[in-house]
Amino acid sequence: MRYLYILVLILIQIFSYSQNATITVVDKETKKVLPYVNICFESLINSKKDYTTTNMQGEAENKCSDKCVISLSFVGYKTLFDTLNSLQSKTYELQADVFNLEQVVVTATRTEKALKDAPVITQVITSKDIDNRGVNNVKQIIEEDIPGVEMQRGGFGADIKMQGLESRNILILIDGERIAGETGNNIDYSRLNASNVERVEIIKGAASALYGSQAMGGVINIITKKTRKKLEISAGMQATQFNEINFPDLKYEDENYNFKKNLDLPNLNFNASVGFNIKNFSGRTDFVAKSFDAYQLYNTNIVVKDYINLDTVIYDSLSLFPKGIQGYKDITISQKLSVPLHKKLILNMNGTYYTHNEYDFVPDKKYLNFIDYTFGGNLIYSISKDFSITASYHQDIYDKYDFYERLFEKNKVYRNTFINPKLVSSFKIKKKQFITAGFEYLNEYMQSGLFIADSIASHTMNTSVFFVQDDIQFNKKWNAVVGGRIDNHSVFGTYMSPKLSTMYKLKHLSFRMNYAKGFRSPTAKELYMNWDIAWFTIKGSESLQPETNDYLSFSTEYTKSWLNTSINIYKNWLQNKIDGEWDYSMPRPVYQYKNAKHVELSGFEILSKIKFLKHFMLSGAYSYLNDNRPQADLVSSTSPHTGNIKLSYQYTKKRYEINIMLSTTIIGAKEFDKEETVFFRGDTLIGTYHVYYDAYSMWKLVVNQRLFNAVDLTIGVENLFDYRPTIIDFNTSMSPGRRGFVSLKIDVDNFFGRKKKKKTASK
Amino acid sequence: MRNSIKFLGMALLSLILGFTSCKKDKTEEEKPDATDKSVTVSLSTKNNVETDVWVYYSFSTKAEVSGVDSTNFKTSDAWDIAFHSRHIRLNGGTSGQGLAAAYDAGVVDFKSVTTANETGYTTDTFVVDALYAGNGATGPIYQDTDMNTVFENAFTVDENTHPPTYSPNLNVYVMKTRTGKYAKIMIKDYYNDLGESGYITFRYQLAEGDTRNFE
Repeated sequence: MRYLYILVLILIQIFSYSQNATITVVDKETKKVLPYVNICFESLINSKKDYTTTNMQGEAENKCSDKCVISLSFVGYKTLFDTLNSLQSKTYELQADVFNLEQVVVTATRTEKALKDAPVITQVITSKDIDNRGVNNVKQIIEEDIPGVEMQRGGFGADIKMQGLESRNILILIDGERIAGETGNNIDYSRLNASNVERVEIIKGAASALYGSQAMGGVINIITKKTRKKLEISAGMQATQFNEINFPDLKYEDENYNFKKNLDLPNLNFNASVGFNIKNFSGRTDFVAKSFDAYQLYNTNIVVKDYINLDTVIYDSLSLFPKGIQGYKDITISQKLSVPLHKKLILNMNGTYYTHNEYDFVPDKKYLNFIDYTFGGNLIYSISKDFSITASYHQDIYDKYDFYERLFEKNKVYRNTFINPKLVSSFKIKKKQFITAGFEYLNEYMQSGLFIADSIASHTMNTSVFFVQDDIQFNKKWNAVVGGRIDNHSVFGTYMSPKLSTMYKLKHLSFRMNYAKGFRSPTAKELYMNWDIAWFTIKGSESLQPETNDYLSFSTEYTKSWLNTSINIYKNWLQNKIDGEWDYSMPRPVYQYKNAKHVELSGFEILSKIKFLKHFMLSGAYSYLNDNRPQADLVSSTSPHTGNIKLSYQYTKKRYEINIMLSTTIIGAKEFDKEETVFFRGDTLIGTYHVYYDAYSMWKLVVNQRLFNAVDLTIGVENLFDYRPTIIDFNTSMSPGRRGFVSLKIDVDNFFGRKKKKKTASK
Repeated sequence: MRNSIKFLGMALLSLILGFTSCKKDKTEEEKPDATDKSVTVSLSTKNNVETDVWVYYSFSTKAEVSGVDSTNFKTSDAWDIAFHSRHIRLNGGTSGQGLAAAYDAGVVDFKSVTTANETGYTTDTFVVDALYAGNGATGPIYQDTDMNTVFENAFTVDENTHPPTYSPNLNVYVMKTRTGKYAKIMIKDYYNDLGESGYITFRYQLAEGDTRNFE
């Protein structure tokens, strides 16, 4: 094998003699050649700069005309600097960036920064993490990787929680843009397809100074892929076992054939993408189709209520009714186009179309159909190296329809639209200060049947925004970011949110301090809702004020070549938190939205990654939360203790790579006292009983093989030890049980590249 | 290479087709059997608006009956069967002066019930705290009423959902009509084609003349 390697090197050498001097870039450990490495030459004589990238053989021409400083950078590798003479051929070995610290992130400051320099601790999930695990939705990978994040199920469907705060206090963005369409304050998570994700950035804590309303508990920013190569074609498919066959003997003659068939869709995901990039003129088309099998979870144990104050135990009979988890089928098509109009002017455009059918277990011959269109773009004008202006526009239209299966007709029941133009400028002052300032306008439209009984009504809200941020680099060790934002809302008036974050670096240590104010404007639903549901009414209130919070955190990060660990301590004070309160004074009970609660949340998180024995990586995280709210009042409560552990093994040979990963997510026990009205010995009394949920862990095993640098074959098992709770409710896992999956992804263009290489080698 | 592109193309095409074609799978019911003498009725009046509003139906006119309400149903001879929410009332027993009564033949194929039993029929009774109109603005209301308890297993009701979910169990019931003729009936649906609740669909067949045979 080694001889072969030498032979190839010699061949490359021979080949390169026919040209000018050649630079070859390989991976330090695997000696694999690295294509698309960015190389910058800067002349030591006249500071003239020149750029190039390596080809499929990992080679590039030495463009240095005299003595140069050369820098080589590539995603996932540490940047390398060297001095080089003209006509000198040299092979460089790039070292893998094990902890992704060189990874560029944007969420913390809205400007590009290396992860290690971001003033707010940012957690990143890269496309490599996604490929290695054969995951097809972003929601799942966030749940597996980020401690203190819990995906649960509320009354309406999936519900995310972060550091104890619900989805309505967490802002989820795609490429920095808001996502329209919600159900119970949760966005439609099915829109977050993993196949076109470049990376996911997660910051915890308030970030309203940059992102406005809702960024109180954290921001999850999903960055989508751009094409780097001349041509990129890839296709992937994933199949998971059925969750549950609901109708095993379904015949075509069955009168409710459609209804039943839709509840037994296969768990499939198919995705394909085509992209090109010719001299910075680039485009990319992504197609994703997926379907998901509906299932039902039954209690296998009875609920026992020990009323402490009444000295009585009540054994409920076993509930015969399951909790149904909807099935779905959807298609997403997205298109991106980037046009360099001029050396200094770039136009980016994008659009997506999404259609989603959601199938529930109610035999009412209708299902929900969601349709979403987004379109927008930006114009970036780089006046000089230190001064740029970006004008952007983004629109997201999300509609919900009732689809009548028998009539084959549909009826619109909901629309939510965001229109968000922005004008942002950034400039540097004396290489020490980097100022970003801008204006934004947000128009939000909501049309729903929940405002007035038996009819569809709509509400519009507008916000004008000015924000400014100064990123000051005092010296090599000391960095501070100060910023603020003024929102003028058409219903609530003006609101200010400042922030301050600083970072101090010592040799292996980084200290960060972050203070920020956050807020959330009440939603149209919270303001105007008047919805009769079952035997009660949910009512909004027009006198609601925005919720606000103050978030303070301190963190310390320690990095060595084999270790990266951090501890983050936070406290979150929330004022005027909007929540529903029961009012039984009317004949028909009312669940009334109010600015009632002052909530204090605090906790800490420890994250560690250890690389050992060359091929192994162990990472773990623990999150502690102290929530002063009575947990029984919450729809679903968060355990004070959560964590995850992941052990991965990676072995790479020239054309072969294997990744084996065993991971677990641990949710600690939950316990609280719950009160309810009981009819006891002829009296109606308030009974108090203790609720306890056991701690549990979800395990996952994945084996991923990458062949010829082009084919990813992944097999894995979710919920390895088949954990199922015996009593199902909003506080327990909704897993259908142990399920295996297999996925295949092919980067078709890498085959072309290989073929070319063979040709040149045979010369 | 060309082959693999072709394969990929085919795979893509078949997938797209697979996803789009599902839409038109089945929208119409199968052709009725020529020997099938049963009738399927979808009532066009919502039956769960208020607690004392029932939808009355006559097997003789094969139509909904108007002019019958909670004040005069016990003396009316215009109706055979009535529906409120998931409950059923027959013109007999405490509900009327007719001869209507029923028994449950279980969850079987509708055609497999070929003869009606001679005995074992239950008539309507007065039930305390039974009526439950759980949907819509009224909320759960319990009321004393006259109804036939044989039909109480026509639906499985999941009250954990909002609003409650009604799934038909598809039992076949054999009954006597107001005039004492025999019929078999299956309650098939609680929702109309727009997904609105309280619209009952049922299938029934009257026996030949005064016999007990459903041939």
